Amino acid sequence: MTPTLLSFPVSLGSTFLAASDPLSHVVDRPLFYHLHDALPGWFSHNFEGLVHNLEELGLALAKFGLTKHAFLFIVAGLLTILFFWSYARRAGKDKVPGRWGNFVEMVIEFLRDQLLRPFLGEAGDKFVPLIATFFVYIAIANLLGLIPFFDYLGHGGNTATGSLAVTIALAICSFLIYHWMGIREQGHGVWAYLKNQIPHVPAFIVPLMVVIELAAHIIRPAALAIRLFANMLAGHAMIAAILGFTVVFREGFELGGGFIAALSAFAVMLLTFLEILVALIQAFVFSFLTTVFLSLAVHPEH
Amino acid sequence: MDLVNLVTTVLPEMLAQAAETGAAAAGQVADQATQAADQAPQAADAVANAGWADAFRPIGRGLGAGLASLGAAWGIGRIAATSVESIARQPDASGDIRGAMILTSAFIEGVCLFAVVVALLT
Repeated sequence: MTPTLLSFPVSLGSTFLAASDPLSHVVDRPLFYHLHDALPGWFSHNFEGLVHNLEELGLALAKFGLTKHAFLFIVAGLLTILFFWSYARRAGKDKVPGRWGNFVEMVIEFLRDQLLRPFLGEAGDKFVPLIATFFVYIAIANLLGLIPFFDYLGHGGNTATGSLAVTIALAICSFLIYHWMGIREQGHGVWAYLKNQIPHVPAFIVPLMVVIELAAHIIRPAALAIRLFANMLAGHAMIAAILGFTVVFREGFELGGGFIAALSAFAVMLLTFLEILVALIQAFVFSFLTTVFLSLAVHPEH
Repeated sequence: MDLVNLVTTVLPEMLAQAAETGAAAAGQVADQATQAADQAPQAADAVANAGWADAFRPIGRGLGAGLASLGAAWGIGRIAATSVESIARQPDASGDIRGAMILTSAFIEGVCLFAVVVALLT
């Protein structure tokens, strides 16, 4: 009994703090994939039926497309709603916001003062909820991929935005929203909005300008999607590659193999810090570009 | 009902129904696996009889990704140099300059990663 009790935290700890393999944070898999490998032996031995049924449930859900990416995307959405709701539920009451409320206020004021006021002026205040949602949602989805102990969710947690499908969905949302807001703010209908998108140039260049503007409007959301996707995917892939050096170089100690392995592990730690920074920066860049496109749609420069 | 009953009887019954659909899904996966196993000899044939030009594919991928990183490193290095010099000239504006530096570096890194994704992951 005692060895089992003592082995439980040890075996739990070894899988608790790491994913099964470094690339599991970006590869899409069904939920609860290979759960019997991830759980410590004590657990999977006693609850064998439950583990097996959970794995089959994960496969069944994957048939409908609910894989790890989709699940963590939904989790990020719920966390975003919680982030804003935790502050907004005392909106009408005269209470001084506590520490958490102060933080939420800091985020929203940062977005309003640094992002929307320089581009849209006072009229930008009505777009703060939109840009704040994009920013917080992408930041939370990116940061969820850096949390190590989702191994029990099936072969590692996941970066929801590490899938092109998710980032293209976000870019399509941004595209539809800034066109819709532009049409609504200009107020003269769709055709006048489209005519406003073309700068004032001599008449014979107008067909070329139409083609250029059309291409720009298609490439900009695509660039948003690919930038976010590539940053998230490449960061995790780089960490996986350098972590692989630790495995490859663990022998050959005379040639400095152990030293290279230790250095690789240290480099992976620093790269993970960089990944945290990149996660927040990419969320900011997405919101920044959405703001720029929004300002171009609402106040087209001639 | 007590928790043990819930966990040991009711929940596995619900999961067994899900498992039936999961078994159907697993059956489809197994069918695809056998199809892939049938096509595996053909794929091995293609690898063995690959033309000499196919050997350059990995070289092309690596070169593309490396050159893209070269361009990005040059661009971001220029941003770093001019922004540090501007901060030295006018330390009052260091907040704005730092923000602009990080933002523009993210754009250039995005361009580099477009090329890396195309080179390595397609």
